[in-house]
Formats: sequence, C-alpha cells, structure tokens
Amino acid sequence: MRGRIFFKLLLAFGIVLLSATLVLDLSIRHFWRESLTGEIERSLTVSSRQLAAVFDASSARQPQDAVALAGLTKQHSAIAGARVTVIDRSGKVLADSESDPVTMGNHAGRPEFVAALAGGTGRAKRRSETIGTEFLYVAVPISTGAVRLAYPLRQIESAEKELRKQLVLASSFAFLISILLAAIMARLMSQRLQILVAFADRIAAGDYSAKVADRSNDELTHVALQLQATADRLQQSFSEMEGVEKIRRDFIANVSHELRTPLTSIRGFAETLLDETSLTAEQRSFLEVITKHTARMSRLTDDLLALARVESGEENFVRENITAGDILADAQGALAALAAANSQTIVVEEIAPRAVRADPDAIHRVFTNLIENAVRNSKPDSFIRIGAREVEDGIQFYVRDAGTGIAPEHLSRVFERFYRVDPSRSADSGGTGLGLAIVKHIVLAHGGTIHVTSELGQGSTFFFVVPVAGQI
Amino acid sequence: MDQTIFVVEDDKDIAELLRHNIESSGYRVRLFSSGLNLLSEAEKQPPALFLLDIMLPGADGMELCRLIRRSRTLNPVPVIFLSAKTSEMDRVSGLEQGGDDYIVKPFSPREVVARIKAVLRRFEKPLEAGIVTMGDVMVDSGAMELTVREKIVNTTATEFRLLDYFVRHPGRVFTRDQLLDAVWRDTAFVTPRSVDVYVRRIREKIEKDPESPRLLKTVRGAGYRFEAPR
Repeated sequence: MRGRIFFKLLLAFGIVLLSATLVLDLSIRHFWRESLTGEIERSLTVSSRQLAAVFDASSARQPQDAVALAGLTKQHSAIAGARVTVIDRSGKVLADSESDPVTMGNHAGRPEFVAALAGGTGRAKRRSETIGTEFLYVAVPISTGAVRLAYPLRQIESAEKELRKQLVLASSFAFLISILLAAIMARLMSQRLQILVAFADRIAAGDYSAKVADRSNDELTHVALQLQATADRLQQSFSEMEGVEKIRRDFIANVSHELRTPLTSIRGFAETLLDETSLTAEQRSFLEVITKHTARMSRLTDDLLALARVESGEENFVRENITAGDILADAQGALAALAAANSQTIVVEEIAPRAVRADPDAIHRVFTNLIENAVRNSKPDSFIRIGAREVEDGIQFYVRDAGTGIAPEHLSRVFERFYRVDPSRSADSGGTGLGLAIVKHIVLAHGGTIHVTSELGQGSTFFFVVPVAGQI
Repeated sequence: MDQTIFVVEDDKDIAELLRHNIESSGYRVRLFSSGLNLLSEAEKQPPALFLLDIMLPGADGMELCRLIRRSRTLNPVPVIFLSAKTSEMDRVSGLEQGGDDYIVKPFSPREVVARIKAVLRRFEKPLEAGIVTMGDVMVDSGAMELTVREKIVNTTATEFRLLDYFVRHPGRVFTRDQLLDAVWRDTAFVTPRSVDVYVRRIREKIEKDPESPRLLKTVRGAGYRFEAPR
C-alpha cells in the first residue's frame, strides 16, 4: 500500500514540476529575450547617434577618403561592441567594420536603411546575407547617407541556452526533493492508514472493544473518529443485548435450581410413602402418578438448564477425536434397553471409518434425545436405524424411525423449543419439548448442521453432520 | 449398626425426609440447618459420614468440606454432597474440595441411602497392611498414613485408597475406568474425569513439582501409571 501511495504522490509532483518548468521556460525566456533585445536596441540607437554625430563632424571638416573611413568604422565598432556599416545615399556600402565593402551588395532596399534615409531611426532584425547569422540592425542618417550598427543575436541565444540549462538543473533538483517528500508523505499517510485498516479489520472480526486514535486534524482523523464512534455504539448495543440475554439465561437457570428443592420434597415423600406396605392399590397408583410427574418435571428443569447452557455457549465442550463407530456403538448400547422396553430394536446400518472432533458426552446426548424421540414416535416391533456416512463437510450421522412421521408444515419448526407437532399426544409422551432444541444447539456448537426429512405414515430421519478430526 | 450421620440441610422438609429414610436404614442422624455448630459438635464425637447440602446460608457446603478436610480428627470422615447444581463443573469442584460423592437434587431417598452405604462400605473395608517406601515417599497402608519427606501428610480416605492401589501395582498403566472399578466400585456418580481430580490432588501431596510428576505419570491417550523411582 505504501508503495502505491508513494508512486501516486510522485507522479503528481512530477506533473506539477514539469508543467511549472515548461511555463517558466516559455514565459521567462520570452520576456527575457524581449527585454534583452530592447536593451540592446536602445544602446545600439544611442551608439549609432553618437557615431552619426562623429561622422558628420569629421566629414564637415574634410572630405573622407575610403581608408580614413574604414579606420573610423573599425575604431567605433570596437567602442560600441557592434558591427558598424557606413552606407551612402545610393545604398552603396562605403565602409564596414567586418567585411570588405567591395564584396557587399547594395543596401538600398534594407528596411532600416530606408527608414534612416527618410530621416528617422531604422530598426530591423534579420539574417545577414554577408555573415549568415541573425543580427539586430539600427540605422541613423548622416549627411552622406546613413550609419548602421548591427549586433549579432547569437549572443542572446547562447545566454538563453545558459538560462535553460539552469532551469533544467533547478527542476531536476526540485524533482529529487519531491521524491524525498513523496516518500515521507507516503510513509506518514500509510502509517495512519494502516492503523485505520487494522482497526477496521478488528471491527470486522467482531472485536468492538478495539480503539483507534489519530492525532492529526484532517479527513483521516475524521474517518478515525467516526469509525471509533461506530465501534463504540456497536459495542454498547451488543453489551446491552448480551445483558438482556444473560438475564434471561440466569433467570432460567435460577428457576431450574429453585424448582429442585420443592421437587426433592415431593418426589422424596411420595417415594417414601410408596415404601409403606399398608397402601391400597388405589393409593399406590395415585402416588405413582405423583412420582411420574415429578420425574417429568425434574427432566424439564434439567433440559431447561441444559438448553440455557448450550445456547449461551457456557457449556464447555471437551472435544476429542472419536470414531463414528464408537459413537454409534455407544448410542446403541446405552439405548437398546429403552427401545427393547417398547419392543423396538436399534440397528447400526452403516459406519464411516473416520473420526470426528467432538465432545463424546454431548454427542451421546444428541443420540439419546434423537433415539428417545424415535422410540416415542414409533410403534412396537419396529426398527430404529442409525448410521454414519462420509459426506463433503464431515461425517453425517442419522437416526431413522418407521413411525408416524411429521407433516411437511411442521418440519421446519420441530427444532424450536416447546414446539409440539401433536399437542394432544405430547402430555403422555414423556418428552419435555426441549430435546430437539438441545440437539440442534449442540450440533451447531460443534460446527455442524442438522436437518430432518419425513413422510407421514412412513417415518422420519434426522441427519446431523459433525466435522471430521483435523478439519477444524 | 451404631453409626451417626451428620446431615446439614437448610430445607426443613428435605431434612426430615433424609432423617426418616436414613434412620429407617439403621443409622443415627443428627440434623443441622447450617454449618454454624457443625465442626465443634463433630470434633467432640466424629460422625461416620457427613451429608452436606451445598447451598446453605452462611458458610456453604464446599466451605464446610474444606474445613473438615483441614481438621486432623475429621479429615478421614467421608463427605457426600447434596446439590441442585448438576453440571460436570460443579461435580468436579465438589470433588476438588474433598467430597467423596455428589448427589443431585431431586434425588430418590432410596438412592441416598444406597450411596451412604456404598461410601461407608468402601471405608470400612481395611486396606491390606504393609509399608511401601519409594524415595522420600512412604505409604503405610495399615495405619492409612502417608509420609512425604519425613512429614505426615493428611489425605482423605479416597485419596489414600487410590494411592494405595497405584503403589501396589507399580509400572502398570490403568485407564480411568479401571481405576473407578478398583477404587470407587459401586459409586455411580464419579465420572472418568473425576479420576483426574484425585490424581491431581495426590500429585500435590507426593510430588515435588506436581506440574511435571516423576512418580504418578500420565500416559497419553490411556490413563495413569505409578513409577517407583530407581
């Protein structure tokens, strides 16, 4: 992430620097060139006027010969630092500081010369035919024609090149600084972002107690503040929800404990009376009704407590690697007598070879509840088939009965607490209405899934999947 | 039979129920509604067994059991807990406080009497006399006395019987179930995990470092083995 921020910043800095350099190059160079040219032009004008005065004065004293004129021209060229040309009225060059006048063409058509003959100061910028470089020309009139000063612009160009070199150097230096700056900024930015990302990851993972602080004062700080506020609100509502849920569970646990004391007395005294030998058959049967219902109520308190513990995650499952075969044999062994009392037989149909990772006691409870259910819902002389087979996400266990079956509209609700498929039958069935809810929560707590299929009159099959050992 | 059983139960009806059924089986019963005078009375004339309700006003059953185990005269007396708490964790902590059995309410009075008889039988049958010394640990089975580094160490009867069993079969690996059969016999309540509790308590008494035992060792995936030091 840091790298990407760095390169983005660097690219932005680069673009800014490049455009600034280009604009500077264009505008400064243009301005500089203009002002330099103007300056040269002014100084050429002054020099040419002085020179004109000198020529006029000397030609008034005596007529000029060509040699004297050439000397004067050379002398003044050195003083002015420019090329000096003297031209007569016809445009013929009389003297030149750098070329032989004989080789030079007629200057009658040159714009600066035309302007000077007209009595003004002629200016022009042009490539010299004689020398071949660009010159700035200034011509002023003298009595015999005109005197012209020329300054080569090549010198301006080389100064300009120097200027551009400086500019490129400065830009390169600025670019180096911007690399450094981008690195520092990217580092600072990514450090802050990483703190935010780590915080967001913890929130996503459900840790609402996470804290984030950003001491700056920009948009990122704002994001951090808002994230923190959101996490705090989530944390608060979760703890409120958990509080309510805990009160509910504690209440159930307390009720279950409180019921045990009166139940102990009822059961105890009823059983003590049953030990009496002098009871009539009717008295005995009444006492048996009392004991039967005390036992039922005691199961109910057990199941309520068990469900509250499993639901809340308070139940500590001690997971071990245990083979499907052991689980099935254990279930068959423990419940064969119960089934036999109803003339039913438990058959182990198939055994998956692998081990699952589970709390043996909890899985035993799952089988106990499912098989008790099957025993209650099946006719005598039927089979209850159990088995385990390998499926994609673990080992699938099943308990199949050939009993009354469950109508489709009830299927999705049988795992709810106290949900009764047939309310009229349930009172005598001996079930508490919590067995399947407990089963479901135990299976879920093991990371498994549970479902049921059924057909009225044909029987039901409960399937649950437990992850295999080493899978979690 | 002339044995007295001290019953601590704050619910009058349940206390009456227990008294009736235990007396019908030929024991004498003294009822206490709290642990207030229990220890001073017991010190005068130690009972054959304590039956303690766990949820009591004032000091609860667990606390009383801790005090009983700390007393030199009462230490060998077996303790059975009565409790409305059913979880494995509650049972284990009952054992950790030095209980010998744990009965869950609502109980059948017949079951309580059967458990009392079972625990007393276990304690009546004397151990075969003999003194075994391993390094600085001496087990005197006749006197039921454990001496570690020349100091006599208090043990409960159940702890001593388990230790005695290990000492008599050095080098052999026992599963938890085998130990239950051999030492606890007809007590239904103890689960294989309770054996772990007793092993831990014995280690705390005989091992220099209970975390890395050199005498009573765990055999991974199987159970425990007692190794006589060479």
